[in-house]
Amino acid sequence: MRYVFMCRSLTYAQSAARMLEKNAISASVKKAPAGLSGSGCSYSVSVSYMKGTAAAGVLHREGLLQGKVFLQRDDGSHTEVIL
Amino acid sequence: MIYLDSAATSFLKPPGVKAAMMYAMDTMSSPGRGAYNAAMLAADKVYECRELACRLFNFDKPEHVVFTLNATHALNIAIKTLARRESRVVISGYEHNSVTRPLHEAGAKVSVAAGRLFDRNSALAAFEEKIPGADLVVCNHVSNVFGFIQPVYEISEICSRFGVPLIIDASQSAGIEELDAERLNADFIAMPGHKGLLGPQGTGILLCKAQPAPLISGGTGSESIIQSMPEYLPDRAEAGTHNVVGISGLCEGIRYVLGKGVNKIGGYEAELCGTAAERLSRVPSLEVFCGKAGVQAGVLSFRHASIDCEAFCEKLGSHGIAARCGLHCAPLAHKTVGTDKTGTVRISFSPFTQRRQVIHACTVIEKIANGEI
Repeated sequence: MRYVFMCRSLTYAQSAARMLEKNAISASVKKAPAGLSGSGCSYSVSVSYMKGTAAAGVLHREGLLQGKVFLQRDDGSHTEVIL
Repeated sequence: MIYLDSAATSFLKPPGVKAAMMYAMDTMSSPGRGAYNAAMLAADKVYECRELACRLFNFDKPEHVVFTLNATHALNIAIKTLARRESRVVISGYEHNSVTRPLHEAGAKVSVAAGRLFDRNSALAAFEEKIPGADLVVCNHVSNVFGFIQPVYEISEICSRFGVPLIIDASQSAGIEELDAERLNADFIAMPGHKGLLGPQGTGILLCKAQPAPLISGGTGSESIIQSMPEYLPDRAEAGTHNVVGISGLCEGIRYVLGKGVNKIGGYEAELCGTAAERLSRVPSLEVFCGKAGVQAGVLSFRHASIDCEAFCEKLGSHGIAARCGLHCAPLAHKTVGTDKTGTVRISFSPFTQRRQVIHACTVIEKIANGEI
């Protein structure tokens, strides 16, 4: 399972991923899964399940937590969560 | 060819620039348009360039680094965001047409703070007098005609004091003079990628502390369902596909500048300029526009008492020296200095200009001036 942080743009997703990497949290930028964004194309940052809470803390602190957060299950389904 | 037209475009580039552009051609597609390798490689490169620009200009928001086609494009975004019809806009006496034409088009009322050439106190006094009550100030950091380094930090302090927005045109200073976006309280800082940043033509940067209005609208790879442009940067100001190949080259240009050091580059160019100024000032038929150390970057203008500047440049060209003559797209600067009827011959330098080339060029200039060739 992984956490998916929705970002408003590719550049913000990159900034978020860089910030997480600086805080020793491995993160990858991905196109947001279809259906998670209500306004069309979007990007997201994906982190491991174990690092989700820490990642949320870093992004919140840096003003980079801008969108919804989803838990992505191994079967590909998503559930919105609050971290 | 001895290339002395770096104020127009830096011709010699660090070797990494071409290599990076070739690599981008072979491996990268469009950022923000997919999640496959070629798209993500492009996205990483574009973001890396934003980060390098932040490092160079002491700017803390990579998202607010907007890529443009050139400085003119960047200035148009900034000016058309802040200038309205009848806005009272104060500009220096050394502005380029890339500032004056957009202001004219916007219908702004332009007031020129015309300080004397190479006199920073005079420039400051002119701004101090004009800024109160203004709607906007636009000022270049370095004059593209005379190399005059204007006191932009002090001008920004006056703007802050009176709550007037400021746009800085860093076309001749980016990569050459220290430009600290944190210290410089400007709403926008515009610059080309192909001059002091040593990138390829077709690249430029706008550092945004304020929210720009989109100059063009279109696809951004984000919020595709919504028909208005996104509210956030850089997407708001970057419609359409990026010049990934150019940005890849620019990235290496900026990396070179960071490695070498802006002060070292600017110091070297100013030194070359001083060498040429000292030598040419001894030629009686030449009027050389040079200032004291610290007020002139690596740009030097001169004119001959009787030889037309176009004819002078043509002769220089026939002896393998590339220089620029005329009004340099900055008639206002020439008017301020009184060279608007004649124009000037301009020579300008880059980190790759060699001292012996400058000395040789001065010898040729002397001979042309003295009617020996």
